[in-house]
Amino acid sequence: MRAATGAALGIALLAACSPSEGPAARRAALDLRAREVRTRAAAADSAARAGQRRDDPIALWIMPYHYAEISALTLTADGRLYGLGDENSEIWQIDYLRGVVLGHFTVGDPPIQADFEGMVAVDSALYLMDSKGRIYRTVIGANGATVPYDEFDSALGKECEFEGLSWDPASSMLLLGCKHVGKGAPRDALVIYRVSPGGRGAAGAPIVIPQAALAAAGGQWHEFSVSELTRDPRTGNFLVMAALQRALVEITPSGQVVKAGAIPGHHRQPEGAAITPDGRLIVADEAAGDRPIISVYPSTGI
Amino acid sequence: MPFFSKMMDLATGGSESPVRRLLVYYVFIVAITVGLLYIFPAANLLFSGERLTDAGGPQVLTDGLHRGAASIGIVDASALPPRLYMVITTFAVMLGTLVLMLPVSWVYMATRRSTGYVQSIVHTMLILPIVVAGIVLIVRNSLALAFSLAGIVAGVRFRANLKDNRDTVFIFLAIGVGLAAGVQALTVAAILSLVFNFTILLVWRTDFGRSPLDLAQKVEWSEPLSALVDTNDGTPPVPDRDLLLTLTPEKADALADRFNRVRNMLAGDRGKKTGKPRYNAVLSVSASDADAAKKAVEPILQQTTKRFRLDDVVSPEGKPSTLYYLVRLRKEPSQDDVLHAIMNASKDCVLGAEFEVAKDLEKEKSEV
Repeated sequence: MRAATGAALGIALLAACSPSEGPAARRAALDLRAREVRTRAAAADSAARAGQRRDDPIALWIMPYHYAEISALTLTADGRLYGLGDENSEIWQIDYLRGVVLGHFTVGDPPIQADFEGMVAVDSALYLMDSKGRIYRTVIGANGATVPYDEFDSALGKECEFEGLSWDPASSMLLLGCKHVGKGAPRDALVIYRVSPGGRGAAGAPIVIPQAALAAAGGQWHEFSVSELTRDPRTGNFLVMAALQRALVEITPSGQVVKAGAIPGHHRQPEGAAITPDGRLIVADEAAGDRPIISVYPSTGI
Repeated sequence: MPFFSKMMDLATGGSESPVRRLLVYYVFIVAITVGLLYIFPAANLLFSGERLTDAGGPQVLTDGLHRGAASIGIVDASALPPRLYMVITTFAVMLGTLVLMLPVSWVYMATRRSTGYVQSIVHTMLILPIVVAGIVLIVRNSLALAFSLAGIVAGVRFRANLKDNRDTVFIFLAIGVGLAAGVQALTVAAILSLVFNFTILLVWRTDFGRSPLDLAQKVEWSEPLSALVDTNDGTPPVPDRDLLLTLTPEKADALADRFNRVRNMLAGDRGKKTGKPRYNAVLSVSASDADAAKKAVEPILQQTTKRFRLDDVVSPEGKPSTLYYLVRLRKEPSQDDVLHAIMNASKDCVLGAEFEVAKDLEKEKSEV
């Protein structure tokens, strides 16, 4: 019995000695995190100016399993980051500097069940896209809220299986990335369709970038399966990401390839990307048998 | 296993104390785990309990860089193929479950050795948590999968009744450990296993809550009655220890009087050389109506036995009565014929009848 009492006392002591976190201590710890991230970013910028490219992340947030199916990221104009679940219409607000999920809201009551593959914030509106090219328009909701939506079909489901949604402010068009081409879509090329919000069918000819053009820019891939499409607010160019090929391509709004290369860092299944106003690349990995991760890089790395 | 036993003997100094051996086992497991975490930091994932975290409200994420990405399994995991990593994680969870349930099975075997030991429960305790952990790993956080599995499991009907509440508690513990392991909270599972085992041992060693007798009676009666329970003279012990030890002195006296009376009547007076037993068997008749049974049975005994006497009638409330007859049997008819006649003559009120023939008399006969 003495041994059992000793063991119980040991456990009690262990529990008593474990640090407790009050709200103030928690805030201070999170602020410290943000400072550390900014310090790493500044160091990376200095190194870049000195001609040393760094692919190491300046922040790496490991998310709980609930966020396993994170499939898209988008940044609002005021710098708020939102992530989207793959199979349900749950949207999470993420503080990428402090590593906190601030809240979540749901689109539709009951929530929309679809294979979501893209999301983009346009002013106060939020556009979601499923793999068949169906678009859902909604608004950003408060924490725990359920927000209404309306939807329209791009009618491009036969042409492509879509992944990646972005917004071109110059043409006021949605850009839909084509992961796998279907009937009627150009083959051996990176294909991006333009769709007018609320419109049906493609608005004009799609952006088609042949494999040869990608190869000429340094991208040696047999095919390019788009998994995310995001706009760089500094240049107005678009960054196209391919999870299967672990590849990144920067293109102009007109479809000219600027640069091509590999996604910085190590990633299991990068499905979401966003670029901050100061040029940091944020990449979201689906869990893929482990845990989902948000990585923040000092630059796009290409 | 002999190697393991020798190691345990070495660590406990040959002590047979279950508490000491259990403690050594847990210390051994903690040491192995600490070593494992030191060599493979990614194993920390098994103790994180991350699937318990609530998705609602602000939620602080794990800082992969501050803690060192390698120490939390992310970089290591990315270096491994995802499927291989999943295989390793699943295997580790299953193994952890088994390691934590082994001492529980030992405690069960130790504490239930004398009464109510069921081997299938030991097997269940080892297998059930592995299955539960597997199910939780499959379901993960998917509500759809959870409902699907509930539907599938609902199709399988279990009709196994556990006779003892303590067995149920062991099964609940098995489920608890399986659930904790499944959500990768092996720390919770380990503490659950440890606290449960020592609590059970404590309750067992102190015989907590055993007897409703007050302390004086308990002390007075537990010693002589314990002799009946823990016999070392080769005779079988009384099966229900608890029941025996809760007898009040008056009830024990009454029971002893009845035993003595019946024994004397069956065995006769051994003090006299010519003493012959007046009765050589006890007939027990179970009846729904004692009076009706008496009227039906006694004429038959009158015809078929040398003599008989109604010794006792026990009528528990809400249960069939039992009539005990002391009987001197004839050579003919046989016991079976007598019983057959009783059952045929009183089908309405007699539920059953049986003879107990005095063993002492049988011995005397065989010696002659």
